[in-house]
Amino acid sequence: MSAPHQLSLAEASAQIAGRKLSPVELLEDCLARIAALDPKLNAFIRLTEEEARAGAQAAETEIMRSGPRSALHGIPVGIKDIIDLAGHPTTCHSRQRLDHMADRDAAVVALLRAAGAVFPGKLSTHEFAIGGPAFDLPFPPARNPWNPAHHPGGSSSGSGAAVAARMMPAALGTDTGGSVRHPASHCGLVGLKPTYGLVSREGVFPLAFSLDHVGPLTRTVQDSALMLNVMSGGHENYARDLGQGLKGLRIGFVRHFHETDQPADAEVAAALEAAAKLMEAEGATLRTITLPALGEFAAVNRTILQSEAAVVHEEWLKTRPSYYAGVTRRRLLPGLFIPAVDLMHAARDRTKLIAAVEAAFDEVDLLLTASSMDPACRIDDTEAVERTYPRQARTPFNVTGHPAVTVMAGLSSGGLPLSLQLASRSFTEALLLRAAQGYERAAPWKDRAPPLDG
Amino acid sequence: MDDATLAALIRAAGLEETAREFPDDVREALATVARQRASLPRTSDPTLEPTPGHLAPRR
Repeated sequence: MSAPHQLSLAEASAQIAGRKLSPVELLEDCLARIAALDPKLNAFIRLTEEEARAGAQAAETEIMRSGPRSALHGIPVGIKDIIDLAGHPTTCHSRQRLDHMADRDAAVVALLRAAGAVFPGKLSTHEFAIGGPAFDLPFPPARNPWNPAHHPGGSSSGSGAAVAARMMPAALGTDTGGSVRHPASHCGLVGLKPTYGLVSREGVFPLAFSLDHVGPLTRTVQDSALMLNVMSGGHENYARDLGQGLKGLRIGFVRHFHETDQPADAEVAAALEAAAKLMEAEGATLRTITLPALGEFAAVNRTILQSEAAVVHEEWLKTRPSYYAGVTRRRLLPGLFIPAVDLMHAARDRTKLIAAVEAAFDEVDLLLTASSMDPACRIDDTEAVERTYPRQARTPFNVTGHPAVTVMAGLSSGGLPLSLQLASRSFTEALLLRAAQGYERAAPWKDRAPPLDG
Repeated sequence: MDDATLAALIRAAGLEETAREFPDDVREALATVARQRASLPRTSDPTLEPTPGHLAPRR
């Protein structure tokens, strides 16, 4: 029998509902795992053990009395430290916010709490979800459980590291240019960016208002659906189509993203081709689709992101710039020099890009693309880390708002996860997750774990 | 960019103090924006609406 921390969210949930596993036992096992591994992975900024213990105890009592409230009742969920957890600072991994205190939960945390989730702590991030990995901050950067010398992806770095290391079954991340899907890709997880607006951003420190999304990082697609059911307010069951597989689905493979726009590492390209073949073998119909070039999406994303972030950070950039890590300051300052007319050009081109992706969805049900163009680089290789951020195909769906999910699609020769991305029409997450699970089920990667257990 | 233009842009952005403390970062930010502007698409369609759209408030 698996140790409780090794269970997926759905497995733990089923055992809790069947009274074979106590939420207290699950939490204690996760806390022991955190104590053992976090000193080398730095996934956590702050542990909230006592509150989590009280939550797990209350969950156990209630479940024994009247059964679970939801699939998340008694499940430990990590919170990225730009999301408010009542009674604790939301530091945003920054010196600027060390004295902050959240007086109430973010809306998405309140939904999780009402569903019975417990919160073992706040997870590390790039500073303000943009500046990192950095070594000149009050907290060290998270590291990749598959190889701690490597970048776990960002900005939801702690969320990726913690879930991949089996410290907890699920965590919240945020995604403005790919920051849920990047750590998911580098850590061998499922990272979901829901449709823009589906999950509330209230109580989440903004990076760029019109690009920000909140999404879950989990080990399986089913777990992602269970998280989204709660995070979106409980109005829809996103697990309803799981198990239907890929048969009959029309998938557009956006090859130019990784073949010509940002040529991918050979192992990434081979993994994508193998995934496409597997999807066909599972009954999907694949065709090549052409979208606007990645560079156009990136230019629009960058101009909007920098402009919106500048509004948020203007005062601190003027009055206490030394409080930022150097990399954060350098990434934020350009926003104060972007002409207003450029922002409007980007906003108008965004309309065209949305129309182009919508037109693709007139021909296919889903888009298949690369996520990262390379396996995770070394975390101390500053130039390689800088190259990571443009060498990806995630920002198109921040610009357009369409839902997108990344899943593991292989292992590099260096033992690091490879990934793919699927996207679908807005508010069709049930279809998106059905397709992702169809691939996950047919591929051999779901149960691969980082080499942390000897 | 000549020094007078640089100083004028920094003053317009209200970043004089920051530029004194981190002159390289501010100079780099201006260079970054100049580089990025070249790759930003500029439509010639005068009627193209931006996204997010601007909506009248509902009562």
